[in-house]
Amino acid sequence: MGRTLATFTQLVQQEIDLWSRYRRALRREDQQALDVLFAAARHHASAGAYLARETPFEVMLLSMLIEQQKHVVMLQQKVIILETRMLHDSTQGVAS
Amino acid sequence: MAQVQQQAMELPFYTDDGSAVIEAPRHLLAALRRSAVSTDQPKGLVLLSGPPSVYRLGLCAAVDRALAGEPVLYLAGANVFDPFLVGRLARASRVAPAHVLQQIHVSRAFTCHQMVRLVTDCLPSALRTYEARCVILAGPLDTLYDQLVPEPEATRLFRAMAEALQHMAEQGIQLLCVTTLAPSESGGRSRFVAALRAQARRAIDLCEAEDGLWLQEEGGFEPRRWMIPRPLWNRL
Amino acid sequence: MVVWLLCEDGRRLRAVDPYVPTCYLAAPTPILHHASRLLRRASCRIDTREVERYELGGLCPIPVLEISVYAPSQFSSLTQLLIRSCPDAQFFHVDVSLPQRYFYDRQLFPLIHCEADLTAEGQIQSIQALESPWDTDYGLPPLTIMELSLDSSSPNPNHGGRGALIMRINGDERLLEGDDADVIQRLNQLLVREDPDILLTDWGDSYLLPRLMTLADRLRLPLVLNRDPHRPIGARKPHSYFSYGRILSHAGARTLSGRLHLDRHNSFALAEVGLAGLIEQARVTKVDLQQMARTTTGTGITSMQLETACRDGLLIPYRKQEPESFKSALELLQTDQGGLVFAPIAGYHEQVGELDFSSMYPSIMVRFNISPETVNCRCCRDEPAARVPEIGHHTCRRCQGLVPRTLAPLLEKRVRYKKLMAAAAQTAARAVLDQRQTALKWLLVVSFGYLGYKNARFGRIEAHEAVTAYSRDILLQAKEVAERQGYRMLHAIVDSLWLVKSGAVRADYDGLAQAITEQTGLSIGVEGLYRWIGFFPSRVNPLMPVPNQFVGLFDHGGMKIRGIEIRRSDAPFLVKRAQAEVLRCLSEAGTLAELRTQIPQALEIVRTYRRYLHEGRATIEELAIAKSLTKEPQAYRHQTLSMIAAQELLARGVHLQAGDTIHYIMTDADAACPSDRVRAVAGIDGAWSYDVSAYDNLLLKAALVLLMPLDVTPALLNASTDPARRTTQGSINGESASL
Ligand SMILES: [Zn+2]
Repeated sequence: MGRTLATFTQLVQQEIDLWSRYRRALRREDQQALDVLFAAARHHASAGAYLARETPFEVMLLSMLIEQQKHVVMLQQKVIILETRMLHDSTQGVAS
Repeated sequence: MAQVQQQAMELPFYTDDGSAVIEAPRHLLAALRRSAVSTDQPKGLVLLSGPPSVYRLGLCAAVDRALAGEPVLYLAGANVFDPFLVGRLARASRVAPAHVLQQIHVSRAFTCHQMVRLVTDCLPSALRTYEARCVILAGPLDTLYDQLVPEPEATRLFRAMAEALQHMAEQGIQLLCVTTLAPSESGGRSRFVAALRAQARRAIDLCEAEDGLWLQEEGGFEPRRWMIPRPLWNRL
Repeated sequence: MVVWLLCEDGRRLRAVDPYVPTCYLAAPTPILHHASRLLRRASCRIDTREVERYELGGLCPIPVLEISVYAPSQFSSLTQLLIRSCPDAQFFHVDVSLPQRYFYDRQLFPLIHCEADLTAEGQIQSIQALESPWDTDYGLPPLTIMELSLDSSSPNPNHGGRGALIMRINGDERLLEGDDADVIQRLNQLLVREDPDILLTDWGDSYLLPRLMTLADRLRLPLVLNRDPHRPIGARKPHSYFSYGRILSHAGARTLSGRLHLDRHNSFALAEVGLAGLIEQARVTKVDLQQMARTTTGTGITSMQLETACRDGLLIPYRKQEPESFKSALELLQTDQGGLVFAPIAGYHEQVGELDFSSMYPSIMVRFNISPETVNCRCCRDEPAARVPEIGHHTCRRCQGLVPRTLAPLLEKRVRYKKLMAAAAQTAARAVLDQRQTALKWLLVVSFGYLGYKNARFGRIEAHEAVTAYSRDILLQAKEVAERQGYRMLHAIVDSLWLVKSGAVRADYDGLAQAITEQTGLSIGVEGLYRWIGFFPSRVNPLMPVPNQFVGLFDHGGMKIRGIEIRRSDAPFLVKRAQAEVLRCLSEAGTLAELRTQIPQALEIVRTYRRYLHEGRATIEELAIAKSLTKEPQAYRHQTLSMIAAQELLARGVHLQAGDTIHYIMTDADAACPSDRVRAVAGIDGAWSYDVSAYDNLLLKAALVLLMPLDVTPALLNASTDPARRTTQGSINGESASL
């Protein structure tokens, strides 16, 4: 009989359309950042659909935050690795 | 977010001569009430017809009644219902969306036999169950245009539905019938809209224009027009 | 009822079974009297009696008038008369096709091995099945098959480019040439001499048979297509109609009596599951073979449900009228969802395993007893175990529903076929078993859709919602089990999961499948282990990964490909072949690191194809693009390429309707004058040329989707595969490219 309600992916698209004027007035590099954020919202469409909230935008915001958080952790780990390596290099330098 | 929409709702509404502001309603829902698309006053059948945006307008009317604390029955014949619009309108009115959503009771019909059964049998008992007085029929004719159902049968079913609606209108039930115009392939069935119009106590036509949505009502002492400005509508 | 029997001595017998179909009517007494008066005027014997029968899910029986019609041929016209004359009565059993009713009532099915007692006049005294539709080791009667087709390379003879008639039988092939009268007479001779049981044609429904019939008519010659001389050839014209905002179209049909006509180009079943699969479907569904070949799979599953209802003595309502129960908008928000789809992690991954629930939706229906009459039953409202997860519905814990009763043996039979397949020693036997199990799979697949389909006899939206709610919960359970065991979920679509865990081998995945099966109660298996798999982003937005668009190399060397050009009917053959060759090149890599080393070789393949295109060597067959018309060709508003090609065909007097597939070549895709942009393949004769840059573009896109995740940018691809640059000689090998 076909779905009656919009799917979460459609809701993300609607939200993108609603922000299109906002996006137009952003600088190119900021537009790219915005696109990445909405892609994050769509990436978690399954969780958004499963939650089935009547106000989906806040669900999209949380999805964007999740991707941000993952990114932060990934960068932290990289920093730790680099720091350890630097420490290692400097101690080795002293030793030799 | 809610703040932005609240502001949007406060745009004024203009009459067709463009000058006089009709009583500057506080927001769209109030405008709808004023245009009697949604009304708590006169009972009976009101027909709202026009392009597919009528469905959104019909849902606004449902939300308006639900916000007023009334249970609403929503009969979906065209497979359209947008709970997210309900959510936005509720927030703009500073009411918990879930509360409004719980006040609206939906049933979908996917065939004309289901639609007619819904109106003739299920609706009267649902009105009692939910103690409701307000019904939105969204696309009651859509299923009747199905060419798999022969025209004489569709006509018979339409009559049964129209009769039941008439009966309920006489009982003081508020019935808002929201319908698009008949598709070009509908042949003799295109008469159904006209028949509903003849039966309705009020018939309001929706037209979309550059500047906004015009609601127009013939009959009465003089034709009346209202407008919903485009910027407001687009933000709905 | 006319029944054709193939006797053990090889004779083909026309027998008549004195079958008496019944229907039922429920109405107030005055209407019943009116109906009885009408029935008394009928020209055949009709018996009526008052009985009580149950409706599906009914708590108590309802009084109905049982009407028995002693002339099956008049059954349909009589019931139609009653329906028209008594619009306020409720009718039951009126619109089930009579051959199906006959099969249900006599416990027979098409092509059954049976035993019959006949009178000298050919009347059936008794007829008894000697096998069950659930047997898996059945043989087929020795059927004679005659094939008819045209000697032409045209993609569709209705669109032009016709040739002479070819007849094939028992490996013997003849070209029927000469003038029209010769052809008809030769064909008649062959039909009489060979007396085939099945006429297997290409374009028989829409072109061949109508054309032969018109010719014979014009020449006043007989045409003995039918084995039964008393009956006309069944003819349905192609038509389309408007239903729920969509145009639906049907190709025409020519059906025969005493002989079966099957058109390879007008049969979903034949194309998908072959003759063995079609026969399997007809056996279990009891739908006549000629109908099963032309109808949707849904008709088959509906027929099985109707049989269950008939067997249980339930009334089959003429029109389904029960709408959805009222639910709050908040509940609708929760229930109106499909299965869960997790967007894939884009790019190539190593050592991935895929786990699939087998026939997930039908298995859910059987395991959780989901059927129109069991969802939200009165008896189990307060039982916690009856609750459907996440949504407010419950299902019955006491009585097995009609849908599960129908599906359980089907599921079970498919499992048996799969076991037999695994054990089969011969390739040919395995192929037949595969066609049969695929035929059952299709029936199972549509069984879910029919639970929510608007015109389904035994559909109900709440049942549909219950199935998807269970599926979401079960997929999440599977995810949780996998994650507890240290797997990472890369992608999931409703009933399939792609998982990765470093170091995991076949035994680990088998163990995981076992654990999930135990947890959910639904059987899940390992579809395969991939050496590597690539999930590709959307063409429109490279940031957005798209479900079900991937290429994976299994550990046994096979590939699984979804959603890219090779799998798409509208991609030109040349593009598909180029993509296939690039894939073959990539498939030589076993790891991600090796995948990268294949890039230069892949680029060389792309260059070879581009050069071939630029040198103007591509043929019509390599360039043809097939598109199906989604609307009536007159209704298109935009000048799309397929619509321009359709206009060309229309101007040549070809009849086209929505649903038809047309074939065209891009000649100058950006030309100012629309008619210069494309040419319909069927209309090409003499000189023609193609739009090199348009095809070049398609070629580059098809390569890019595979190579982009390996850091090959569009600019890099274009520059490094420049057809003008001279390099070592590459050549296109058509044979090695076929997948
Ligand atoms: Zn129960």
